[in-house]
Amino acid sequence: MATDQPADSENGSHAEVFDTTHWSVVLRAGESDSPEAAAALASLCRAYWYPLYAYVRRQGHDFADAQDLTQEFFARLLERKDLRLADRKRGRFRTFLLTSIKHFLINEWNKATRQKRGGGCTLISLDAEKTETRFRAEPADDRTPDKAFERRWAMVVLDRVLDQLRTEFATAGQTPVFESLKTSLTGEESECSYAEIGRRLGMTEGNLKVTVHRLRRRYRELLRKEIALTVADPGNIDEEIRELIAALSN
Amino acid sequence: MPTEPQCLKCGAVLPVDAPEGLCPRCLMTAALAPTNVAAGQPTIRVEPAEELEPSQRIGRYKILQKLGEGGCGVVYMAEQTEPVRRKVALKVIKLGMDTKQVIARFEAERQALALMDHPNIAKVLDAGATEAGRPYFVMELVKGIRITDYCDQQHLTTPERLGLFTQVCQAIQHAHQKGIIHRDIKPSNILVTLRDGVPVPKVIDFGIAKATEQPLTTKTVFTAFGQFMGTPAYMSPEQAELSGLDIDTRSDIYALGVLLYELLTGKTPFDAKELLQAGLDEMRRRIREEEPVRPSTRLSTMVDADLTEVAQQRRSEPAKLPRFIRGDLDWIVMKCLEKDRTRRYETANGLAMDLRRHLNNEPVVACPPSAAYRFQKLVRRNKLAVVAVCAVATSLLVGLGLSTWQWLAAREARDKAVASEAEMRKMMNFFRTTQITRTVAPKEFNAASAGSSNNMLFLVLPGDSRLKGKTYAQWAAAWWKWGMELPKTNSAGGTHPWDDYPRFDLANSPAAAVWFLAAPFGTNRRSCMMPSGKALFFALICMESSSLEAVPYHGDTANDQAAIAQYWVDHMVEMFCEVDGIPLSNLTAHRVQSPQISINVPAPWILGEAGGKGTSSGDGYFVFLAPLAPGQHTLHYGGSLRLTKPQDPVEVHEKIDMTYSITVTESPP
Repeated sequence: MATDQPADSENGSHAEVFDTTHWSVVLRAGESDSPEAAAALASLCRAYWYPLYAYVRRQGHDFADAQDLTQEFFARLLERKDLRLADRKRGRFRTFLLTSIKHFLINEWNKATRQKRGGGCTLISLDAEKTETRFRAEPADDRTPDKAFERRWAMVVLDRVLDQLRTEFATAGQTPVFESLKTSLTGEESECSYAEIGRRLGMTEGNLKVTVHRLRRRYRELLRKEIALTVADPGNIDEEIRELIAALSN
Repeated sequence: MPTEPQCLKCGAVLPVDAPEGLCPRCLMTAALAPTNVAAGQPTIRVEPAEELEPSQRIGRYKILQKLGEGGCGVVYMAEQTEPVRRKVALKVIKLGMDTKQVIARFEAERQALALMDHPNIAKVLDAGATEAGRPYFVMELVKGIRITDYCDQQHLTTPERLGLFTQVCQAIQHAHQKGIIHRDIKPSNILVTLRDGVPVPKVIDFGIAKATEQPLTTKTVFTAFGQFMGTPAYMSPEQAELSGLDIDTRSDIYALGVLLYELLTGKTPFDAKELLQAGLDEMRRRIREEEPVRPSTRLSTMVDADLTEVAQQRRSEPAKLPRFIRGDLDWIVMKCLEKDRTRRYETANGLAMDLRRHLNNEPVVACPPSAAYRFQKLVRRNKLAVVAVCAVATSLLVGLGLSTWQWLAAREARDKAVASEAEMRKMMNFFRTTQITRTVAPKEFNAASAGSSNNMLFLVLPGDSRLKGKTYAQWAAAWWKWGMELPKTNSAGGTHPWDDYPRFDLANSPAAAVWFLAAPFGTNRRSCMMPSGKALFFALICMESSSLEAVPYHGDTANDQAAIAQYWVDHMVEMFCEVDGIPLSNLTAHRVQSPQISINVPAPWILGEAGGKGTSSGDGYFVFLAPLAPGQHTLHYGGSLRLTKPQDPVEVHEKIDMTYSITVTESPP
């Protein structure tokens, strides 16, 4: 998979190689029915439904409608009826979803009847209460719904990656290590306290530095993998990251 | 403020939903593929400059020749071969920095940088790392010399300099509109190049300061070689803070002010060498606290030879140059250099417009540091000497904070030609009825003074017959109105009378016994003279809220204004006032809450104010001192303003501490 140091993005050559991405599988399958593509899409939708729900809420739909609309949208998507909607926006799952939901909200909702959704089966589990609680807990801001969507998307990416990272450390019985060192993920230099952290964790300073290095490397790997799932071409990872940075920059 | 957690790395306020409590933006940035960086490279490298040889290749660039060397990098001319063949400037960052971080930060801003398209901005094209792991930046090649050198070599006149400078402002404005802050504006980053014989300034190095920025510590400021990395003379107070993180477009405005100062006077407000020699802490303190002298003052206090040279470089004469700069240009520069960035121009365009107005002889927005707010400055820097005990009026307004006024009274003969005579007379008539003739120490007077020779000194308390039946409030309101309506120009055709005539003799008539001084805002006067036999009325601290102030919490209605002024004064603590080291007691007995008065401010001499008719209310502590004996006296007063409770709209912690030396002459004028 990835080498330690993905290099030379400006020449477009990436040392990391992702064989396939969920999104590229979905796209390649086109409109033909492929169980593999359906599974890939479902997995993407499960991961990224929340920004979409929040977007629908921000568009002014109340909480019950937003639940229904989001369900309906995913149902249709998973029935693969809507993939053609966004041919030009297919490069990234994120932009595809945003374009699709806009299209859906404008054109489809009027026609759609709530009974039709998903042929009666719910594919994405939206816990109504929890979802709304989460939405309400969000900081108020004056972003446009589009910008808010993008920011939430970026946050979901980060949440998922950090969850994976935390889980990996927990599995190895190293939760305290993760807790102590996670601030180094943002690249903050905390050299001054390395000695102390080391003492607390029973590690030498040298060991600790190696651990930090590995933690950062693993984090970068996981994050790039996560993003790779949502872009059609792994060559677009850096571009997508830059856009997500922009989305997080107010 | 302290309640909101910030990212230690980029300074952004952490959102409540920050994953694992970490800054999302920095987390995302950390995932960018670092470019060309060898694995396992140590974070900090300090090593001598890596010299690149001609024809050596770096990435897709071929080094042609070395162009120059600055504090933090070496610049080469290089040739790019693909996708287009062109010559570029390649700057290799010289000192040890975390290459990955530098490049990641640059990457994060790359998109925005790409959006900049302005004839006065050199494009930043690319960034990468050399084989040795040092970051480099590739820029549009600008063949020019630094703006200050160009102006001096060409002997540009002051208006010509302003013309070039205005173009720089427009470039900075463009960048700010695209969301880019330069952070390191200084002459060496503004090169003038000739296009068809016309000089065109080009701003270089956009995006580089941010990418290479490090927290300001001794380690980063002074490298292992004792070299200074930043440019202290151009550093804004907020950049001089240790955190150094909360930088916005107004830091660029500050640096533009320093540049303008230098173009006008040939000197920076603070001498770079002195700053460096002072050491890090002292340097930071000076940048944050010390008020620079106004450009015209700087010129007129130069030794003759220097002034002659500076004037010649501007095709002017030593006598004329300071006069040309005094007034509008002083205020424009000082407005940029405000320590409180809310008082600076909001945009580079605002600065450019004001310069244009000045060149067209229209009134400018910048004006003598305001009635309000000035107090802070005075307080910090000024130690004015008032010549005799008479009326010192001090008023303080703090905007987005506060603003201040301070007036001192004391005076020599020449100042009698003060301001508009009609205005003066109106006010004098009031005071003329209020003679204060003798002094008897009231009971309240501090016992410490009882045995001193200075038994003439005392406070006149409310109800005292010497107040001529007027209340403190009436005195204050009259003093206030008089000050608010002072005309901007004086009979001598000068600018603000408070500046040209720091001492203001209210007692133009021999009958008047109260001496008022107009505040020498922006001056460094610390001493003055006044005739004997006159009483001194002054505001120890006076807050004012007027409908003319554009800052948010000045009220339009009488109630609002009074409440606002009261709010500030309520937070004044630890007040003191000493004359010749003898503390006055009972200071807070003289609080005056002035009723709303109508004011007509002839010109917008308060920053952020429109000028014109309006209303004003005030609140403050006033002191009325009986005449001081002839001789030298010291007036020392101040207090602390603390707004730090959660319900306060802003956090303000100001300490006011002023010392004036007053010489009281033997005979009355």
